Amino acid sequence: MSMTERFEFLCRTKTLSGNRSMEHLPFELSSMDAKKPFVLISSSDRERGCHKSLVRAFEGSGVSLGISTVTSLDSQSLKAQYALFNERGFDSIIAFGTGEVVDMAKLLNIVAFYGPEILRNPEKSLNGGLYPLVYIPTGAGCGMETCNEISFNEKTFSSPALMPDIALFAPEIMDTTSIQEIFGIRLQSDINDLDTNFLNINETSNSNIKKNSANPFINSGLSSLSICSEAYAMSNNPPARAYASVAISMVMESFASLIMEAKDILSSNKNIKSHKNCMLGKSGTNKTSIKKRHLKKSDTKAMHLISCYSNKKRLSENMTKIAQASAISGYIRANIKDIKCIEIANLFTDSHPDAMKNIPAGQCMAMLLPEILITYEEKQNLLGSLLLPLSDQLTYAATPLPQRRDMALHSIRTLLNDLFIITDGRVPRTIDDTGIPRDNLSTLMEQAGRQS
Amino acid sequence: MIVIPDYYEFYCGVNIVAGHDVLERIPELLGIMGADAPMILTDKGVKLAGLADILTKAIGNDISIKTIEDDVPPDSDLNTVNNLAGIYREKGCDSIIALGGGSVLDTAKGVNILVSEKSDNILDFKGSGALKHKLKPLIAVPTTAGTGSEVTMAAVIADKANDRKLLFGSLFLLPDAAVIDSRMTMTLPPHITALTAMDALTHAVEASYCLGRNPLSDSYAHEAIEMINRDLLKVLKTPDDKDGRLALATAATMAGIAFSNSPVGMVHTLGHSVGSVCHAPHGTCMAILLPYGMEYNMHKREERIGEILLPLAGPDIFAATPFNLRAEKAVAHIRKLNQELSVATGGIHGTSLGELKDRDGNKMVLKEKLPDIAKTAMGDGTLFYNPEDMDYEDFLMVLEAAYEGVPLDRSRIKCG
Repeated sequence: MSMTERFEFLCRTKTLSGNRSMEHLPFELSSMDAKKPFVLISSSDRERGCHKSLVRAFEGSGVSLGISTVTSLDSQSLKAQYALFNERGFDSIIAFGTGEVVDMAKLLNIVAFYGPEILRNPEKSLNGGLYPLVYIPTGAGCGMETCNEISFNEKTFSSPALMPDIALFAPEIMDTTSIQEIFGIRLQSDINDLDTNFLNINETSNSNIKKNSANPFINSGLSSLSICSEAYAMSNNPPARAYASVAISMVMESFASLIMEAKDILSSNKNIKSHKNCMLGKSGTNKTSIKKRHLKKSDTKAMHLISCYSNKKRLSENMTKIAQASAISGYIRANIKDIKCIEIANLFTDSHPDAMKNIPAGQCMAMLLPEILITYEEKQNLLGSLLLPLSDQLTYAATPLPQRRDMALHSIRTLLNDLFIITDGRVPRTIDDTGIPRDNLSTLMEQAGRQS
Repeated sequence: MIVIPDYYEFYCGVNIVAGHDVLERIPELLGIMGADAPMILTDKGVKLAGLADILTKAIGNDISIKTIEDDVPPDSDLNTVNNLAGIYREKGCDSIIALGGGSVLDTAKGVNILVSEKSDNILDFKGSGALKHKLKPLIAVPTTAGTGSEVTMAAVIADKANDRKLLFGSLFLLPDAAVIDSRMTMTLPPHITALTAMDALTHAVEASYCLGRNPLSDSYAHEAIEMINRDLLKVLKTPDDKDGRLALATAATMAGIAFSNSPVGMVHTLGHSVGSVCHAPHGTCMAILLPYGMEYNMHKREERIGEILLPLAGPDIFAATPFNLRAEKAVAHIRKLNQELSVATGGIHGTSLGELKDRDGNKMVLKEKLPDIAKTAMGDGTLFYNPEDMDYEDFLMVLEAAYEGVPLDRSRIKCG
């Protein structure tokens, strides 16, 4: 990478990461002269009770918390939150959650600091500052939480002041589900016709999984991977590359770990399926005798192990990595302009709402990523260097320079192919997988060209 | 495999603006912060080198520079800070541009505390966390590529009357922006280019293997090491290589961010002491002592030090070196780099403590002073994050090897 171009980078968010990191919050807030934080939380997180660890972290600190549930993101709700914040004299905001909770926190911060009339005038500068804002994700996030923008009622506020002062990643509060749910793996149909009373497999119930459901974990991971990979490969911006590199590694490692686990589950499931066929007499074996002889103890235990396969701790660690990568993608969005994968994914979604309705932005970006990276022909060395965060030191170093570009692209494609298999084709590998007709592509590219 | 510690923090809220012509952005940057009447703080050396003129010309007439003060001594002190704060108020300034190295930056931070807090007594704000509010806009323009002080949240100011150094630490001491312009380092002589780059390299390498490391500090350190490895010798051969100069300055800033978030270890402990007892240049001490720090800690951080070989020597050497030899190869690479720098600077860049000489050709570090240096090192707080413990004998053992310029006898290290 040659330093021929000017660059600029600002990330005003401090990262706190690790178990019990919330215990540091009273000190952090105090160093910003904040003594009375207003906590915004979603109703589902409140029901889960994960905010209790936040409350415990403040016990004995002399800092008093106010907690308010975010039910929707509209003018009425904002007005209600503003009234609470104002009347009770809060001096800082903790957004405990992702998505709308953080959107509400940013809007409330603007309104609380500058007054409600600012909503009519988004052009007004926010350089006067804002109240301290802490972001504590309870899930993967979408990346916009840490970005320098917020849109409301078709108006967009943009300022570095909108980036949270602190992003705190605590694995113990992550809303983890299970490997099956993340990838939409359906074991239930395979084992439904077994003797469920006998096997006691109620814990494997996958009632929440809908065909084509978009798991935020996959979408967030793929979105972060795409944004950070493109920024890494196209920009001569060392601080941005340093952040992006960490995000890419975190996503690749998390997916690698979870995909391996998912493949194990699928493989066990396949064995059970053939075992089931055997039990049902398809291979001429006596069904009853197998049940009694083999399934009574060891197989019941095996099924139970499969149903509880997901290791909660490992899942929460991987979720924390994805949440951190997502936060980093927000910093990258705030600093690197013209990220093509975002623009073209938006174009796909806008122009083909039917085909794309089940394909969230993150999946669309990743599907387009290899081809987008190839468009940076003039920066092939940077593209080759992308192999380092995508793989590991040895793979990178052992790959000759002229091959690194192709290896980097291969790593991304392999990930997409694995996700395609594990999710029964719900994560697209190519545009063809989305069902968008080939004939439409030239029109799309013309549109993309006009926009850029 | 990315290593995530049980707990870590990472922060650098400085707006980093870098390029060949970014001084011109300063009026706009100040404008965003609502300021248009800066005080420029610098030192006489920087002014004499014409850098203040380049800065004022680049700023142009868009804003009104209220005053240019160049009376900053090599070690920032209370009197200077108080005097400059008085001038700031008298001239009606609303912001500070610090043009220079560590001392200028520390002085600017001290002045900023006084004028922002409307105080006459900086002692009220010493220590960590005493500041609770954002200070006046402060823009740092580094003129060396080494200290990283443009991105650190600390200031050291001497209290000469009481023969002590006062430490100030707060997020609010971070400059609002670090403007890294290649014009500011183009005229650095070769030996200063070498020692400042080795200072930055030491920040990055120690941040990489000491106890406070985390994924983000590792990544910043990696980028810094890679840039220094790629550009240092190139710039010494071609001093007017603008891209190379900018890369070295950027690397110093990146390394500064790395060590601000993953504190340095024994190389700095010993380097501070050699500097304090013998007045040897800090960067030179860092260059000489860095391989010893890596050797001393190798039994505790062999894998990590081995990983540093990749940005330090490049992928081909890394791949061709067996896993169990990578750490030693990394140490050997630093020693080789020091030898090459010595040749490139006509022998001015030292490769051992024993061969360091002052301007008059006298030895800077006398062998009989080594016990004093070791004693001084015992009181230095930077040892806290070093992977292996050290006592007086350990310090002396390292100093004796560094004096002679021979590798450390690792069998003598007391493995804790």
